[in-house]
Amino acid sequence: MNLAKIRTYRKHSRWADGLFWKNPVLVGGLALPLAIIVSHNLKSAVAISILMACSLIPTVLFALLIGRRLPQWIASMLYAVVALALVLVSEPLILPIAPGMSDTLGVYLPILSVNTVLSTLCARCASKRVRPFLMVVDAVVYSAGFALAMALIACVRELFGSNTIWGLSVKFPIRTRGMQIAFAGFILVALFGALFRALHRGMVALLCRRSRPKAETAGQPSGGSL
Amino acid sequence: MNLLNDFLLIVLSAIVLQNAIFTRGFGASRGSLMRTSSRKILQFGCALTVVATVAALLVWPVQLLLRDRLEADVQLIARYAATLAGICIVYIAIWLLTKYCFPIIHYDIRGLLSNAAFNSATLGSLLIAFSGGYGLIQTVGFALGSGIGYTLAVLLLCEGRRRIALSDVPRAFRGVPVMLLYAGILSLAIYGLIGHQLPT
Repeated sequence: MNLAKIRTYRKHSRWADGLFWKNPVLVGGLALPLAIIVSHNLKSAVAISILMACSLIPTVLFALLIGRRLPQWIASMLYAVVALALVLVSEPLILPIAPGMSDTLGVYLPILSVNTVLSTLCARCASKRVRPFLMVVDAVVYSAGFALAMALIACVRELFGSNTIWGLSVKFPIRTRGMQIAFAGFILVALFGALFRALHRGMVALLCRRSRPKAETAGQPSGGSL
Repeated sequence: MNLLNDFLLIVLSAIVLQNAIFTRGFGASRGSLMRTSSRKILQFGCALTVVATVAALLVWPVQLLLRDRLEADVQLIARYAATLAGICIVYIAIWLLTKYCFPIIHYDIRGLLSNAAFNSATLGSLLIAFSGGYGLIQTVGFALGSGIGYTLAVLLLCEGRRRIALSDVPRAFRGVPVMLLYAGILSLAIYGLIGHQLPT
């Protein structure tokens, strides 16, 4: 009974998994260089998230078209080239956020073309069992999940590090400029990752408990599958 | 002698003070944090170092040409494209060379060569060297040092992982989160080693 509930929950939760419980950055441990370094302020985080979406979704579509036709070793090279072209074409989209945003992102802008979210999703496209529509859904949801993770980390780092949000001054009693340094990025990603995992476990446990309320009250073990 | 000094200094700087993972986050991913086999790490590190070093040799003259002949905006785009193109050429060359001349090596590295070549540590270290306006020797030294530094960092993380596995880590932190905490502490240590103090 519990397993059936969990299977149903998992089937319907694909749309939200990439956002929360399978977040590519916080739970999957993908695209970490961007999450660790670029997330020092919210503007940079939003800019890199826009570029990620603009490069990831079309590259996955491209991978769906050619992934099965070409050898994997050639395809992986083509994905990087296509993604870099898309990042460079989409660069004007981030200029309204701040005029010098491209310079602020520096080498992390082209690094988007070789990020692990992209390579993981594109590698999956080569499989014959994969359904194209679901791959596109994954690409969209992973882009949103990446943006959510970046925004969360950037908000905390900017608020604690410089007492601003989106460049606007905020009254906040604590100011630790160390939050702007790389090590804070590592530690915050770890803390948010652990928080997301704990929330997920709690939610699944709650689901199990609700499905067998009588068993719990009778002292029988519940949620044995977990 | 001066050239050798410059080369060794920049290699050492790239290994320790500008370590790819701990100072810039390059190459940090679940794959590198969770690797367990030292042999695989060394193979991956060797592949990454060779690709980065040969690509640095190949792309540096192109960078020099671009620097003189193009405007700043176009130059940046051309630099990104040339660097990735250089990596692609080296990747194809290594793939074909090992496939037809050294099939045993090819069998070992075929699964990890694409990950090593199209990795943020490879592309990032090359782009930093080119944007720093280094000479040929320094650029090659920086690429070589970044590759060695990345390999040593992943070996250090692997050793840490073995020791952490023996500890009683809270369930939510097991796996990637605890490794990221460990990497964060090492990153802070390197930040202190450079001579920085935490801003107050």
